[in-house]
Amino acid sequence: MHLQKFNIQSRSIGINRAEIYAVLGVSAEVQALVDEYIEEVFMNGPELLQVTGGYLIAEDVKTDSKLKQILVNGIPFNIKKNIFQQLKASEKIAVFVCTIGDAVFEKSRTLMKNNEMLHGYIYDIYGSLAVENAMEQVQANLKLEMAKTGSGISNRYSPGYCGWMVAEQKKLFSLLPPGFCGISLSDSCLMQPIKSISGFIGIGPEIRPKGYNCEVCDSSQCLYRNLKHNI
Amino acid sequence: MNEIIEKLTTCIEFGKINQKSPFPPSMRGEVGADELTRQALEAGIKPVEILEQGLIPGMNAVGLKFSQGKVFVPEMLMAAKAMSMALVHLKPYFMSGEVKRKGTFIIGTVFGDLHDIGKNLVAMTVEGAGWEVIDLGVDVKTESFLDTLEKYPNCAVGISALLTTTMGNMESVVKLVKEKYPLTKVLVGGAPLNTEFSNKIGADFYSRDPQGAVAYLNNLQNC
Repeated sequence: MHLQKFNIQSRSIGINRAEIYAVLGVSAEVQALVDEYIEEVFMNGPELLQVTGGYLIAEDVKTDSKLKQILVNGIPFNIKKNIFQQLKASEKIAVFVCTIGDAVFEKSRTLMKNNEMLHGYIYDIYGSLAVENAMEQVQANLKLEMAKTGSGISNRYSPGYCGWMVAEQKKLFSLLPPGFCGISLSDSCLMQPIKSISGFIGIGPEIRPKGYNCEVCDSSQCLYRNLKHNI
Repeated sequence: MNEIIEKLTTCIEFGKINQKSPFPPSMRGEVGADELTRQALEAGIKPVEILEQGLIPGMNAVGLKFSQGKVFVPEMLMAAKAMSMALVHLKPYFMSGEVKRKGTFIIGTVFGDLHDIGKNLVAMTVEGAGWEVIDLGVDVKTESFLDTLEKYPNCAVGISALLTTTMGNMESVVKLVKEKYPLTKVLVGGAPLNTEFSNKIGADFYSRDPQGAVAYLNNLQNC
């Protein structure tokens, strides 16, 4: 078992305007107003980020092609067909989490309560993008670390996407030390702080990052699938 | 139709809050929903006409464009903000009973779930359609829905969930609401839901967008 934890400098997290536009949906009419809010968020948002991320590298990894399952430390995960295809050659699995803390979410909800819905919504999107971008740094560290051993890493995959059920968060968190990176899980598998992510990254000499195959996924409500393919 | 009322509809549809607001750029410097509602009242236009002929058509127009993918969340939020500014002026008439709303709609995110943006959007759109909205917030326990129903027995109920792990919690809420208030209509919504799930848990309607909820509610006769 190999555990790594990183405290990431908030100013190192690069979010660009286009990413926010893509999630928000911005017409020419509303752009000036949105830009004004984005400027404020870019100026004050980083101070609200408390970024921590890390991973545990599990070496006991087996696969069941028939059930499309991956067994990590003996625990079976029903990761479904698309993710199974990407992880089946893994010799190890990095179980990751990353969070930006509570402050951005709280700022967002305070604004919304004060009838500043759009401003609050832009903070919410900023928080979602910040935690994904922070995880890019954690993932880059993992990639460097694994490259030294001659292994590659896959894309990251999270419960709730590509058919992997959110309920499997409980098993995923059971692999990590309690409260790792300050993240806890509710009975309904909601992570606290809310702006947190978790999942698996495959590791092995034959593993390379591939596309997310969004085009073959039938999750019509997935934001990332719909944005990527303009569906 | 009265010119003030027509302008008011436009202000709501395009999210023009007040004269100070720079949005939308094409209406910069013009008065907004705030000033026009006050002007309408001062001009002797009945509050009920302001609501039914001015405000509600504006929200309906933007809600329809949203459900057709012609505008996005920012436009909806600005329209709702303009609407809320206008409703401040009508509040005394709601309190006195001079203006009656279409009914009462209780809404909340089901227990175990803290997601609220979609729920808030529905709440604002339904309010803008002329309903009184009681927003119970997030992580709402069944007892809270039932307690509120006791105070507003003829209302409709909306329940939201974003996760596959929390959508199942809706079933017990719907069951207990229906046991105690069989005539109460229950709407459900949220990203992982669909009509099949709504039927399975005994809800009356699944709405994939705010305007769908408004259309369903407006068809109800018993609220």
